[in-house]
Amino acid sequence: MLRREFLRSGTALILAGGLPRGAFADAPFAPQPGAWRKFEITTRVDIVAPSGTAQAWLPLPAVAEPEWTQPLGNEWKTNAKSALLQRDAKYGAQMLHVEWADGEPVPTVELVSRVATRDRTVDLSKRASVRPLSAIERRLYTGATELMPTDGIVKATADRIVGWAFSDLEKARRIYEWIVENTFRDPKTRGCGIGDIASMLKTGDLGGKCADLNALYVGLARAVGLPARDVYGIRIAPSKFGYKSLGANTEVISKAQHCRAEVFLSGFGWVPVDPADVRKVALEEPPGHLALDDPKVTVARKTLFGAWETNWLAYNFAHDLELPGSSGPKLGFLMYPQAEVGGERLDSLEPDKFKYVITAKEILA
Amino acid sequence: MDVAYLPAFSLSAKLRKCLMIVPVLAVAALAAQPACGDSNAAGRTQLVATKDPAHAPITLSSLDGPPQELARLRGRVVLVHFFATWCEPCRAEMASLRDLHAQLAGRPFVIVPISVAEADGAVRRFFADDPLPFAILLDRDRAVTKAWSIHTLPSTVVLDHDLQPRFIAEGDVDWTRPDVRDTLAGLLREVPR
Repeated sequence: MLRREFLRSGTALILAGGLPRGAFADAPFAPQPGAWRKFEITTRVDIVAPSGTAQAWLPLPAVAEPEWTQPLGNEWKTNAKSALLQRDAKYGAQMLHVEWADGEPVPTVELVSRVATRDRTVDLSKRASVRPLSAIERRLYTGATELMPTDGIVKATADRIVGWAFSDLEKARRIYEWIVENTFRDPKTRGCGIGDIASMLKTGDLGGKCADLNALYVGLARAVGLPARDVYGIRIAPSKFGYKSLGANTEVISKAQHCRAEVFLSGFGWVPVDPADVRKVALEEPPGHLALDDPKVTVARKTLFGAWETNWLAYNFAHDLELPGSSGPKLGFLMYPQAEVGGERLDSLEPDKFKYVITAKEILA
Repeated sequence: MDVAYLPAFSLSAKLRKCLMIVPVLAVAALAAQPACGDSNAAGRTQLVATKDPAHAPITLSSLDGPPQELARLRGRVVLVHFFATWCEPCRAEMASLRDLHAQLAGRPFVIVPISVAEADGAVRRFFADDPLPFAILLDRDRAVTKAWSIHTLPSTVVLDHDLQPRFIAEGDVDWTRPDVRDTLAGLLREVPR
């Protein structure tokens, strides 16, 4: 039997349409907080050939920042025996936890989330009066996690990078530039890290994806005392600035997950950065394998320290997350749908086998 | 904003390789060439002798079957092999591990592959069409990987019949190489009859 649940948010928004998909903009890559855009993201999960009791956990947009993102509510329909919104106390991450009855032959759930976003930029040329972090926040965002140790080689590397830099802004920038300059796949490096940033540094396997590179940024920043955090999310629209590699260019976004980073600087607040996307432009922006001094890369490099185009929604900042009802290991991060059948965790990186489909569309007035 | 400085720190590929090997080196490598500075093309990782003390005991879930305890393998030469199905050199090495298993069938020798921090479903699907002829263990939370100070995938720790670490390889090994087979043959000769 299908059940429908709905939660509403009361935030009022100004709606505006974006550029049509495929349009190439002539605008310089300089995101500014203009009109709000509203999006609807649908996640459809169909557990394939369940051979035991099935349950799933779907990330929900849980980042609410008045300047650039507001969750607008979720609704879902499912043939599960239970579907509950769960909230992680430490980071405020939210997920829909779905549990099916034993023997359910076709476990399904369809989740619709709505979110409003607008571009953000921080003027790094002038300091402003910003609320300082609380002691709890500072401890949270300077602490180590399972995949982000802040001692040993991470601390040593961070200290070398920042050198004698005096201001926190300069330290944050030096770490950003180091990531951009050094995180590429060296073909002579055989072997892979084990998934944490220390092994990335130890092995020299620095050619990872956003969750690796931006985690490296966050870990190095925390190692020198700068509060920093990963922001896990998913791309939901093409780039208005014409970057094919920095947008979701189809309605299906099942593999468009993207993690970004922020660093907290007194006088500026949370500053958006994304060195992983600079590397992505270098690697994937047509015609591909661009040099760091290619204009497309140099522009992205300048912009992505201090600004984000928010054709992207933010799920959460969480690390080391336990999935309620699971006996499996904690998640390093929650950015993909998760599921288990008979206690065995499915592969979130293979949506076709899992299976799940995520789509996004802009809600126009 | 202008970028007015260069990064203050970078490692040459050669120095990175040295950082991988130095923490476990206690005696000279068996191979004629030093571990640092090797080109490390496919399968050319050397087995480096070690006198590390015995590592933490392992009891891990297996992909198909009951949990496995390393301690029950005393009396045999053991290859503890850390890998992940998404890691290309790990995938490349599987063929030579299968070959090694076949060549040493009937000898007091066992390969213990440990999948590091993967979803069970990913491992199961990877081996679905071509299962390994030995149990695959699952270090889902990296606890064993970290306790054994493993930073690189693939890595292999070779234990003698007393489960003492004798050699370590950080990278993929061609297990059909004569020097590698000689090393294993030496350990097998030590096993009491």
